Amino acid sequence: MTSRLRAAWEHFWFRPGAALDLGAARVVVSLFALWHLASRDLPALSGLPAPFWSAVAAGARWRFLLFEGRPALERGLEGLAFLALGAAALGVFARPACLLAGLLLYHLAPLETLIFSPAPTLKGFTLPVLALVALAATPCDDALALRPGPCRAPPWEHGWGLRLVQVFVAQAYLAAAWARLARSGAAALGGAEMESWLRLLGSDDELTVFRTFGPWLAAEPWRAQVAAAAVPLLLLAMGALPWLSGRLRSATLAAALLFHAAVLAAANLAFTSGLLLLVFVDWSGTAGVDSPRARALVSSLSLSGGLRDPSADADVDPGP
Amino acid sequence: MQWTSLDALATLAFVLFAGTAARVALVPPGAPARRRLAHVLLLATLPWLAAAPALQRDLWPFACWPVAAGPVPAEITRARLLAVDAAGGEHPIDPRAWRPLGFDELNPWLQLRFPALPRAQRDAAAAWLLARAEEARRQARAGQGLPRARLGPLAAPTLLQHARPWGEGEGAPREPFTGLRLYLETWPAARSRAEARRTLAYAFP
Repeated sequence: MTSRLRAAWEHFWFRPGAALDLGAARVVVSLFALWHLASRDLPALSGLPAPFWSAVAAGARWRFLLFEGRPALERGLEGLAFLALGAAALGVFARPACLLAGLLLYHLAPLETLIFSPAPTLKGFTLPVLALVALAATPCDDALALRPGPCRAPPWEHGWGLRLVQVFVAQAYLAAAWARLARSGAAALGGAEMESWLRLLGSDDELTVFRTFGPWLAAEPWRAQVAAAAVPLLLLAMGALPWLSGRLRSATLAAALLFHAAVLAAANLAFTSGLLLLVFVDWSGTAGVDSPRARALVSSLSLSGGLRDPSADADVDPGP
Repeated sequence: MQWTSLDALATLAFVLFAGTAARVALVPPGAPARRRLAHVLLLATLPWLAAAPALQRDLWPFACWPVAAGPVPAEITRARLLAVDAAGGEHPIDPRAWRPLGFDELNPWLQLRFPALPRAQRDAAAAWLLARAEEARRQARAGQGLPRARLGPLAAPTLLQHARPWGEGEGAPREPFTGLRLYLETWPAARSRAEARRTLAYAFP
């Protein structure tokens, strides 16, 4: 039994992966974090008047080394985060850049919510912080890098790095499904609770932009019941993505796209981290990416690695 | 306000995770020790991914992702901050007026933290908010638009979508703001907020 568990663990984490997929995960996560960082003015929040900070606990301040009245310092650190994320996206000193960016975002991201909560979970930086720090430990600069790493890593290194990033993304969906069950029990699967949420998120004049689909779902108990059953099923399917492959994975990703669009229309919730589902795309196997023409194009752009035939990676001994 | 055990646990989780990742990063890819260190990093990471949902507590960045989870209370209470003009008329404030402060942080702060502050601090915060609201109104009326996200229309959207009572600026009130009123609105979950009963919680000045 133990040896079977160990074999399953080894197979899941350390089966060979493609350098291109790991490099693509680095680019996706870095660009996503850049987008969020450029969208918000986090340093300015350090300059909020003292009363806004008065209820911030000492533990929260020291956890993130965040103290009021230092917008200039935070502006400097934000500039450093921009540089680090840019370097990570381009693949220039990508691994140290990923680590630096992850640590800086860990410091900066809580500014967005700190006056009320020390956990900016749903603000867009949660998954990038985890993924960037983890990517720093992997050979994520073997592909799609303007300045590739000094030595090419064996394929099992690309496999575990990519799967760890994928597990971070999948955990968000699994945890969301579990949170519903843990907090409501069987009622989470019932139409009544879904109806209440849809009404709450669809009837607040300060928060509601989309006013048609949510009330339509809530209007009939059977529609709310269908939604209540579909949500945990879809969350579980998205949480299972690291274990899915081929057409099943593609179909689940397509369902995830529809799911996020439906959640936006029905509940006015825009979960931008859903874009990080791109780390599940099989870039190395996508038709055209491995074509001779694409290789020639990428070579001419001085990008390197990762465009080798993925089957060549699979032939290499995965190591001890 | 002191350190809580949750703060300590969350800090421990991140320090272990980031410290182990940094240690692995120092070993060049392909080195024999990498496989063992990869195991160590996984073992320093995966338990926290499970712990946050198990505890139903955020050990940020290890999160329990409670999105629209749990029973909706029978009665909902929300804060509503309104601007007041010289004649006593009340006006809604466009959430973009608070940028870079987010409406989703300001509103629960007003509801749950603000009432516990000493009067002098409440007045100082209200004076700042009034100045922001009036500046945004004045700019909007002057055709300069509302405070924008740094990337404008390309900015990452917030989780919750907010109504824009001032439109693109043309809906901003003509009358200058001279005060603020904070109401608590309570309504049955089975009804709409439009049917809420209002209680004046604070007025400035």
